[in-house]
Amino acid sequence: MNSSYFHGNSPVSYPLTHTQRGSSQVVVIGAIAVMGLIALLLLSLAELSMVWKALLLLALLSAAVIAGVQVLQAAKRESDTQMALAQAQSGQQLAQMYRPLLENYQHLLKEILPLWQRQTELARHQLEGSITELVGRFSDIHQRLQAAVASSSSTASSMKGDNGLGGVIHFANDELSQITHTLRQAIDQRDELLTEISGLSKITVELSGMSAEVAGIASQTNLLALNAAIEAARAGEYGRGFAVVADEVRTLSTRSGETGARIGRRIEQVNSALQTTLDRTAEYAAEDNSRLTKSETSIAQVLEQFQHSSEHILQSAHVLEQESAAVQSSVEEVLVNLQFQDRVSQILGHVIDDMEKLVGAIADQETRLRHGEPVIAIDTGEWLRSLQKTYTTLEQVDVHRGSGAQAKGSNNSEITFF
Amino acid sequence: MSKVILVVDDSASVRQVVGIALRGAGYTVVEASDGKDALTKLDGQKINLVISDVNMPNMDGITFLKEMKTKANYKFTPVIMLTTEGAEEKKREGQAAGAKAWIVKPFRPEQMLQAVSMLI
Repeated sequence: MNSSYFHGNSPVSYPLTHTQRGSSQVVVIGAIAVMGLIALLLLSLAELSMVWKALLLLALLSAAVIAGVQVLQAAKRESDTQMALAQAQSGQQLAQMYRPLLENYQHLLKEILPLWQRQTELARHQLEGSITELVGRFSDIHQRLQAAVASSSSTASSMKGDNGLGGVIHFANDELSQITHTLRQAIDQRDELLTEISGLSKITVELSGMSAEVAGIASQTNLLALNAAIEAARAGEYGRGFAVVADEVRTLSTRSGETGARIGRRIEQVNSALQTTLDRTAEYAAEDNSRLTKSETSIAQVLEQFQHSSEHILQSAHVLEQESAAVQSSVEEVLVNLQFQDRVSQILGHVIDDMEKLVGAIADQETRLRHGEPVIAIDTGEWLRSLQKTYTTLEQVDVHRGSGAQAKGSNNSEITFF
Repeated sequence: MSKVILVVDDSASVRQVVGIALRGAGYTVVEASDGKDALTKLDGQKINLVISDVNMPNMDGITFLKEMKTKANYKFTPVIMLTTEGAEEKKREGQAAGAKAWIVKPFRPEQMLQAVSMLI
């Protein structure tokens, strides 16, 4: 709805028009009065018939009534005119009273609106700059976390399975078990050898017995040779040859006895050496067994600790991976939520545009006033409808309607496929 | 060779978020700050898909889309509109201009990637 104001229009113009109308009514009343006087003059003449007199009287009465009505209307108009004049004077006084205020508002708006506009624009730019910086930083964190999670996952995978840490431990266990088994077999074989050497010791005992038996036979042979020599001496000349034989036999028995004794001593030496060897070997075997058992225990403990440590590392890596993934998810949420900047920037953009529009309208009105042209009043309803058309979000429409607005949830994107 | 996606948005932060999601999924991303800038980026370049904002300075997304569709090389390139605009009237305008999908901001990157994989 548009209305026009005329700069410099005087309210006094309204009563002047009414006064002109009042003057024409006075002329009408005057004419009626003149006609009434003529009618009275005619009535006073005796030559007129009664009918004509009645008609004249009726016309006279009608003229009187019309004149009365006109007088009343003129009085009412006069009153209205006075009231209008009073109102116009009052309006003029008000206009003069409010004029400085209006000029003040206009000046203030002209100065303050561009300031608000620039400050809002500054806020918009700073917000965009900061949010872009934040998005950049969070993006970097997101990428680093992604790389960390991928690396951790890859490490954890490589530590699992046949080729992983478990596989290495299993392989080491197998290999070391095989080595200890081989060592154990070597010890067993040495024990068998010792058993056989112990068997040799028994043989030397038998040999000692046999040596003593040889010595006994030599002694008996010697005695036999001595008896033979005695008998040969008794036989005289005939026994001389026999005495030589008996002497030789005695010599042989003596040598046999000596040889048997030497064999016995040698066997004793061998037996002693064997016993010493057996004793020492037995000591070494016991030590070897003890060492092997200790080695087996150490290997088992090392492997167990290694296994435990690897399990702990795997568990830590898994926890780290999970935590990193959770942080990554949070960063993703932050990145989604930082998109509010785009919406805020658009809302601020609309406010800035509307301020610019208002600055333009005020400047236009001022120009018109300066040139004495009629000023077109701003249509508030049209202005608001026009502003509403610029909105891009439902929240803006809600705020415009005064129903409040809530930020759009970000759990689900609104996607439409065509 | 990875597919090329042109991202058109006057908000640098939105371009970043979209770019990260797309690059993370193995796409090559070309960025433009408005419709006019996007038209220069189109020149002679192989583009497999376009993701464009609607309200932008210099040239808005719908005008850019119409301009792009007049070029023989990009007539059948799928376009996703990514905007704060949620009004049905605007969506119909986008559909008439040749858009294949309409995503209202704020958006979840994984859902945007889902839409991209359906169109590319």
